[in-house]
Amino acid sequence: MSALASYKSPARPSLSLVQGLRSVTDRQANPRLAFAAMVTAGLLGIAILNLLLNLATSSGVYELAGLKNQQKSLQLSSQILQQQVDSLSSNQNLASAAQAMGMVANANPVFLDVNNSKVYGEPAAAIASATDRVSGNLIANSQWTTKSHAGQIQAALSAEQAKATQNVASSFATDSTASASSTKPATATSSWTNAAQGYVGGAKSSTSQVGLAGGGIPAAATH
Amino acid sequence: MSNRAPSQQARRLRGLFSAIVIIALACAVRLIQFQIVQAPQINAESFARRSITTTLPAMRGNIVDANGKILATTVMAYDVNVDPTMVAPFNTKVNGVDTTVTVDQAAQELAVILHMDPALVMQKLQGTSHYSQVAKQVDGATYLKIKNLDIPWVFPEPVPHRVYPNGALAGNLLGFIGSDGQPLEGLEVSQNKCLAGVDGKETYQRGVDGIKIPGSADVKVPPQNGGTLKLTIDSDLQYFAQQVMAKYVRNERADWGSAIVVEVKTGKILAAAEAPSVDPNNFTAVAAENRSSRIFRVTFEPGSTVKMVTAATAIDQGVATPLTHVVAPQSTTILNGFRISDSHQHPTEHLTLQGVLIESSNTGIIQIGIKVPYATRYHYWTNFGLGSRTAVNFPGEASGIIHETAPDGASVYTSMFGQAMTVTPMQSAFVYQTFANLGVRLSPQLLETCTAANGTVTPAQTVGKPVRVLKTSTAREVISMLENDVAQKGGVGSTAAIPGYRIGGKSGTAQIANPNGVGYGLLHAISFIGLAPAEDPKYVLAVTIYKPRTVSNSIGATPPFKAILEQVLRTYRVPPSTTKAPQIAAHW
Repeated sequence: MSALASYKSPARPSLSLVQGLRSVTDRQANPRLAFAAMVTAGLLGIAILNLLLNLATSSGVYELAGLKNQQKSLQLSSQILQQQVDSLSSNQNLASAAQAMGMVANANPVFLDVNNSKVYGEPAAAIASATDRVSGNLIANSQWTTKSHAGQIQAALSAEQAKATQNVASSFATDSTASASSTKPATATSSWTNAAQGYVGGAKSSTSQVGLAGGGIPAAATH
Repeated sequence: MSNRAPSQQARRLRGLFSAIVIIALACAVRLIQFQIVQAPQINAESFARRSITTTLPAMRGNIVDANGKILATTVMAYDVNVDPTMVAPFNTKVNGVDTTVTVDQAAQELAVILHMDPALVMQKLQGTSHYSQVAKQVDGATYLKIKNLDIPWVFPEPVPHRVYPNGALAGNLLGFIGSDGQPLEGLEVSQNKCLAGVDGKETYQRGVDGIKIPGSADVKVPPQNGGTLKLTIDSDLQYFAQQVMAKYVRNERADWGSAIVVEVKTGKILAAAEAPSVDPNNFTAVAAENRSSRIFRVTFEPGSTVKMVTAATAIDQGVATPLTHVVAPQSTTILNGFRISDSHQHPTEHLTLQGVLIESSNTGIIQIGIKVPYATRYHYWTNFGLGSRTAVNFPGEASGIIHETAPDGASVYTSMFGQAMTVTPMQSAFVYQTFANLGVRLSPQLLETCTAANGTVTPAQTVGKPVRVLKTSTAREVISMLENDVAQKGGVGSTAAIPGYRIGGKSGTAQIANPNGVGYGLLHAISFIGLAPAEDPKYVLAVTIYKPRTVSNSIGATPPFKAILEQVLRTYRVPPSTTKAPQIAAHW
């Protein structure tokens, strides 16, 4: 028992450590300072993090505003291009372009039945007399602002024909339309798809190009 | 000293402390005043300064044709507004060089871009108000040019703007929108529920630089765009028909003309062309009476096209056949000395009912018509859809007038050849749709569907139940008679013949009552209504030309009829007929 008592008695002072927390002693000041430093550092870290986060958010907001502006101007470009396409594909434009190229609707249709190899109707040349021909466009359209130029289409068609004769195997119908798109940006390459991309790309870098383009879209591609 | 010093110190400390307490109290009071008492008011004021509410405009829905081609759409246009109090010379970079632009120069530039008189632009830049509108609803391209001028006192404002890419194509049907965005005419009015959207709005807080304050509350009510209205019209056919009608109305110096193409088995209106037509983009360019759809609104006495109704009624009632004999004089007297004459000079003829129709003899048809009581004929008229508005329910649509009891003795007879009653061009087209559809009248259908912005598709028009008007056998005989009217030489009908096809039709040359209601004028309403191909009718075409001045009878209506019908047959790939028309004798 005495051994046990003698064992326990030295352990008692260690219990006073709990009490020691309540009374400031020089020996215990150092860990407290460390703790305070840690808390301060933590708070500082949080503050810096917060600042950085705020900075990121703010710059994000500016970026968002910039992108929204860009979206607006792209939407505008797309609207302007769409109106040009609408104008070019309006009945008034197509009919006038066809007529300018000397096309005449054949009032005498002939049908070929593939199933029984039969021809319905009697083939005859299209009537080109003035009375049977519908006159030039008579239907008003104040939105018809971008017009096809017959000369341009003719040039595109003859270029297409020349190309086709030159290389029948790899003739690419869209290729020749490049010759009609005289006002497309220099960045565009010869195929229509690229021309289209280049065109819109041009609009992206400088929206004024779209506004100035009037009639710049290759007309032949709409046919 | 050693005693006084601390007490002085203490006093000073106390004084300092009291001062701090007083200041702190003052601060606290002020704080309470700001943070609690006035807080809601200050917050509201501050919010009002930082927050901005913008309207998110809803786009009005498109109107498309049967193939989805856009006939009406909404784009952004820009009102060019100026704050005159800010108008002053400004600096800008021209080709990378700083340049001062004078007000005169700026006005000049604006005038060139807007196609305006520079003096007028200058005038709009002056004043003491903060707002002056230089131009209304300029297009995107023009807006870009103005924006690129970088004028600090010009404020373009985006506004939704209705455009009709094909101009006057179907313009009379589409109607138009006023400058305030309100629909004024046509389908824009009657289908407003489908087409109109609901504007949304957005409220957020912005800093001095106009950029949204991060994390600030953002209240957004998204706009609901309008639905897409699909018509039964085929825009290519519509264009062709309008071209033809415009040409003939001009050449014949007529008041107006109309052409309606109907798909027989569905009642769908494939084309409803009018001349003069209206370009809804610029509707003020034409006279007010030309801005709406005459096809639905105008009524007139149809004339001889109704003889086919009289004949069909008699055959359906079993009192006549296509070969029924009549003796038709040039002129005959009915009650009280009222004379009925034929429009062309001829000796007394021995005609069959078929012959009466080919010659379009008034004296002949009254001998057939009188075999059926007036009340029965009235009943047939109502079944044919006369006297009531169609299911299209076009704004301002007319019903036409048919009399349940004859207003006078003469009208019992004159109604047999289409006088003393009025119809719209649409009603007369559907009388022939009934013949072509073997006696069953369908409702005219102009509107297919309304597709809401969320994709919900609803029918845009109610379609009435089909009405059995004639026995199938009667309708077949009527089709044969119509076909003989065109196939046999002698009458006006033969000028409508299209080589290779079996077509049927009937002419009409109607007198037009004087505006005062007394007697008839010298000019006529001429028409030709027909069907093709006669062996299995698929299309009906009704052409009307009102008051032509270079021709006086229906011979002026067959050339446009022929031109448009040829286009219909081409458009819908109708192969030429392989059989011949059954011959029906015209004389005995």
